Amino acid sequence: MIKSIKSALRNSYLSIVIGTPETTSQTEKHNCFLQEFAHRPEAEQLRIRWRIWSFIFVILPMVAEAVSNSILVRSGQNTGALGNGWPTQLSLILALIMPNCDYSFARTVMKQRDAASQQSHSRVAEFLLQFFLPPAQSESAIGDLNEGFAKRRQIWNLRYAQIWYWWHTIRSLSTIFDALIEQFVKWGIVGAIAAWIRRYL
Amino acid sequence: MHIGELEELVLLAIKSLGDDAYGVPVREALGQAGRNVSVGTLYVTVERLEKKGLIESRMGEVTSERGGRAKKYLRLTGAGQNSWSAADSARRQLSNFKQLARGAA
Repeated sequence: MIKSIKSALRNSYLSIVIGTPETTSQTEKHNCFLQEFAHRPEAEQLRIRWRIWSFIFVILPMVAEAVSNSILVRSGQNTGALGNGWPTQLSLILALIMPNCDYSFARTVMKQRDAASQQSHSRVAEFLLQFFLPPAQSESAIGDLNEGFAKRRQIWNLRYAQIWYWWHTIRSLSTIFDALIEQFVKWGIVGAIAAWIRRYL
Repeated sequence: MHIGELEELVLLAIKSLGDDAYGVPVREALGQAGRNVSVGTLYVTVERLEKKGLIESRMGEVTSERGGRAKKYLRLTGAGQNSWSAADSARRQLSNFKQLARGAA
């Protein structure tokens, strides 16, 4: 799977750089180019640039989220954006060491998060919901699903309750993806028309 | 202001639930009305209604049953109340018209 994705990415990149391969010799040319490119200084620069951008766009926002959440927890406010990942754990620890912290609130939140982790619903499903749903809605939407899971856990066995959770996660995400796909198709058609005009006119 | 069928049902559910209106009972009420909507669909609709100024929300208590996540309580605004009343009266008029048409036939 990962190999095929890598291969597709490589081919699309190479088709931009030296054109789409149509014959075996051109495919060999692609492979030669790739091998040669891997040893060029530009490749190393690209790797470094990739690391810098991933740090800026992934790590820094997570740290910023942790710090902002810790300020909310410290002041005893409802933390609408708290997830279950390491930024949340970091934010709770930061809140506890901040001066004038509302310790009881922070501990309550921490205990409830710990209890939540014992419920055994899928962390991946929860992460997907947290990631794709609008931030203003994700807190309450995940809470609703957790509540539904807890109720079903008392009636059904764990496996059925987990299937129920995943089913509702997929249904919820499909609503979001429908809108995204609609946009993607719309802009894809616009792009295709623009490319056709550019090529033939 | 134009509101869709699902939006109207959500407004009705919120109105009938009163102060206890949050995601779970609203979805249950919609399910009883024959519309089984996903959580995502419900909250997308809620967001749309909030943008239209028809409902307002406040974050409620954090409970362990919900995995430490807060409830989002929903309430109709004045505009929401008016909008729902207008949609309801339009539907009643349409229903009366249908009955009259059936009587005439």
